[in-house]
Formats: sequence, structure tokens, C-alpha cells
Amino acid sequence: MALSSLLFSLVWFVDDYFVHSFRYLRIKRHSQTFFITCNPDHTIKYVKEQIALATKDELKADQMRLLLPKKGTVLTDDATIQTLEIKSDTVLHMVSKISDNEWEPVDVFPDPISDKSS
Amino acid sequence: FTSNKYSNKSSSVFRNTINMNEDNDEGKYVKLVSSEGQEFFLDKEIAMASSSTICKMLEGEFREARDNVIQFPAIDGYILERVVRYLHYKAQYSNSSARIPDFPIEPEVALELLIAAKYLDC
Repeated sequence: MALSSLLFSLVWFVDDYFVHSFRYLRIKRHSQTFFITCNPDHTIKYVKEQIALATKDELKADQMRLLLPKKGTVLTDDATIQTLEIKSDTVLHMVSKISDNEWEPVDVFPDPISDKSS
Repeated sequence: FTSNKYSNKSSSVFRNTINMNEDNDEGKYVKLVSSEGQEFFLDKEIAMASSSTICKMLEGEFREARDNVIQFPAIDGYILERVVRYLHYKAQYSNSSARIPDFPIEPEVALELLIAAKYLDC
């Protein structure tokens, strides 16, 4: 009886772990939104590569920059989702490189519902 | 909460994501396009696991299956985005015995979201 409840709570714990490890980010640029699923130990570089894969290389990973929405903090390539403490469903903004030292300004399609209330 | 509502496919999809299944990257992402041309990119597996309408569109001899792009001229962007968020929520919590949080729905979008959900059968 005790063993089965121990096993049950182990299964529950493992299941719980999977559930909480799963996350997706919403990366937005212009009128595109990328839903990228990732683990906590994936890096920003991985996310950029997934975006490049999604656009079939129209956007290249090394010409992207990911930013936190409100402050506009640039996220470095080798930071992991875990260290940045980014939760699932978080919105990140993406800008693309114009030239060697220039990045385009943030320009994201507004959401009529959530932008109204915030 | 009855977990037998959802197929077993969702749970294995989500575990494959955790295991970083990178054998074939080619057609990994599909693009859903809303009425005003907003584009939403998501994992093909998640799209197919959670909506039977999308699944049928992406199988078979349709242009959608070849390009991995589906147009939804009847669904606005802000509705389609919430649908895609729901597809991820469904993929995450299907067949899970963990405590499942509510999916947040703003009252203003509830009616249009319902119409889109009926159309997409999800």
C-alpha cells in the first residue's frame, strides 16, 4: 500500500516535472509571431536558430536580436531560459540587423485586447 | 477533469519536444495566417495533435500540406493567437495528472474565440 502510493507520487512528480519544464515563447516582430517550444536549458541561440528554421532561413540567426518587451534589454546568445527566468507564454520582441552596427527599431503588431488593458 | 477527452498523441508530442527530437527539421514549423495577414509560426506536431481540422488540412494532397501554410481569412489575428496559445496549453496538459491551471480567456474575445474553436474543432 505504501509502495504503490510512493510510486504514484513519483509518477506524479515526474509528470509534474515534464509539465513545468515545457515552455514556449512568443517572439514577435512586425506582423509575425513565432511560438518556439523549448526546455529551461535551451539557450537564446537555440531560440534564434528555431526562428530561422521556421522562416526557412529568410531571417538568419546571427541577424536577430531578442529583447525583453518593456525595458528593451538585449538578451545574449549564451544565456539560458532558466537563468533568465523566462516563464512559458512570455512575449519577446525581435529586431533584425540593418547594417553592421545598426538594428531596426522595435515594431510589433499590437494586440487590441491586452494593449488596451495594460 | 477527464483526460480521456484528448488523444494520447498530445502527450508523446510534448515529450518528444522535451527530448529534443531533431532528426528531421525540414517541415517542423507550420504557418497560420489570419484575416489581416498576421502570421503565426508553431510546431507542426502541436498544431496537428490538438486540432482535427488543422490535422486534416495538413495531411493529404493539399497545397497547405506542401507549403505548411494555412490561411484563415475568417479568423482575426488576436483570436488566432489565442487559439495557438490554447493549442500549446492542450499539448502541455493532455494526459497529465498534475494540477491543471485554467486557461485564461478575456471576456471580450470569448464569443469570437468560441466560433474559431468550433471551426477548428479544438
